[in-house]
Amino acid sequence: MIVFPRITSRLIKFTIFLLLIFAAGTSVHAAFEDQYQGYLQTYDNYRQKHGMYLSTRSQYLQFGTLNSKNDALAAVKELLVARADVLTGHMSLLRLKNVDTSFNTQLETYESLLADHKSRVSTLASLEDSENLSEETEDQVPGMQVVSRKIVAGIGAGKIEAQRLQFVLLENEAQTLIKQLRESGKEVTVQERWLIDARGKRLLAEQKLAEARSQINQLEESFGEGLDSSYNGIQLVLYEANQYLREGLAFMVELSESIKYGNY
Amino acid sequence: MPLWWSFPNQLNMETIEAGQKEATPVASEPKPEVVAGAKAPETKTAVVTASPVIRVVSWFTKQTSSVKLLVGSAGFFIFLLILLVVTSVRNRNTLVVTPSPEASAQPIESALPRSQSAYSQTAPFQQFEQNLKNLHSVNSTVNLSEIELAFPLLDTDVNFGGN
Repeated sequence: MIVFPRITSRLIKFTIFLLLIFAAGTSVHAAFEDQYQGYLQTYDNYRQKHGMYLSTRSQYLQFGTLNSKNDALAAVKELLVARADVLTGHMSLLRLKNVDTSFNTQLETYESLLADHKSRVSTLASLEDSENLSEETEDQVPGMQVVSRKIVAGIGAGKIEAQRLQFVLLENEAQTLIKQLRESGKEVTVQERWLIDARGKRLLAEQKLAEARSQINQLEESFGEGLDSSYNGIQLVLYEANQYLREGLAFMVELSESIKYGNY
Repeated sequence: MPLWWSFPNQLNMETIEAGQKEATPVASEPKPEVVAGAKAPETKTAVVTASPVIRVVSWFTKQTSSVKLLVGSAGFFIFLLILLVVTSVRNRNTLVVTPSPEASAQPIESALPRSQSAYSQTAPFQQFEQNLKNLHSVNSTVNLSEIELAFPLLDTDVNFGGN
């Protein structure tokens, strides 16, 4: 009579714990989705403001009248605010998905810089001032790009790393199964062969992962030589690592099938 | 007179043939009498009846260029119409074979179930198999590109001709 309620309460606590974990995971995903939808709207707003800016700028450069100058100033103010909003939104998205805490400080720095930039836009009194203020943010954009690419590439590398760890655990499990079968007097030469092949593929994936991490660290240096091409190179290496793991998993499936349908 | 006497021999046959020739003279064709001063009647071969094609061609050559153009375009459209009708009839008769919904290159699996080993029913093996399936699923659906996190394309050269 006393034990039963204790077990029931433990079960309830465990169920609540599981529900909380599920809710936390769902809320993070939902938060990112909400943030992403807001970001898309911000980006759309920026495109409109940029169109207005180009139009008023063209009129000012063509006619040079006071009216066209005022219109251009109003348009460039809206553009600078919209551009800062897009960059801030991107930083927020990065922060939600970032797995490397070492980038948090840089993200916070950029976010505060953008907030300061936005607050100063309203004080602009001339086109020259707007050019100068814009230039301050433009100087920060390359650094933002490097951080952004590093974080995104790091997320991909993290996913490969997680798979690699699970793969190692699978190898250990397979090794235990083979050992048990061998001790019971079964022939396990084929299974050992499959395991060696799978391990070989996992080692190749590790090499690719190390190569990708090295390239991620060198992204800052390669900015002048083409950040995009360096980033695409990292993506390619990560895809190769994923492909090696897939091939290793195919060997693992063969191992599993040979035990499942063999004489064991 | 005996009967054999009346049977014709070489001599009397010739006589008979000669007699037949004499008895049936060849009738000569009557020649039309030509009366002096009278006009000869017109023969049918003098009036040549022209074929429809020739008549159409001669009519066509007599027309003005605008009429020729009109007739030509009308003919062209009629030709196109005939071509369309012929093509549609052919298409109607064509048998369209719809492809099989399943790819033909699928491996043919035996309908007989393979017998599973006793060891495959143990907990460690089933745990291993489940972990393998999970990792396989993760590997095949992993998203490495993170499109949502692509850096935005922005105008980073705001100027009004000053710079």
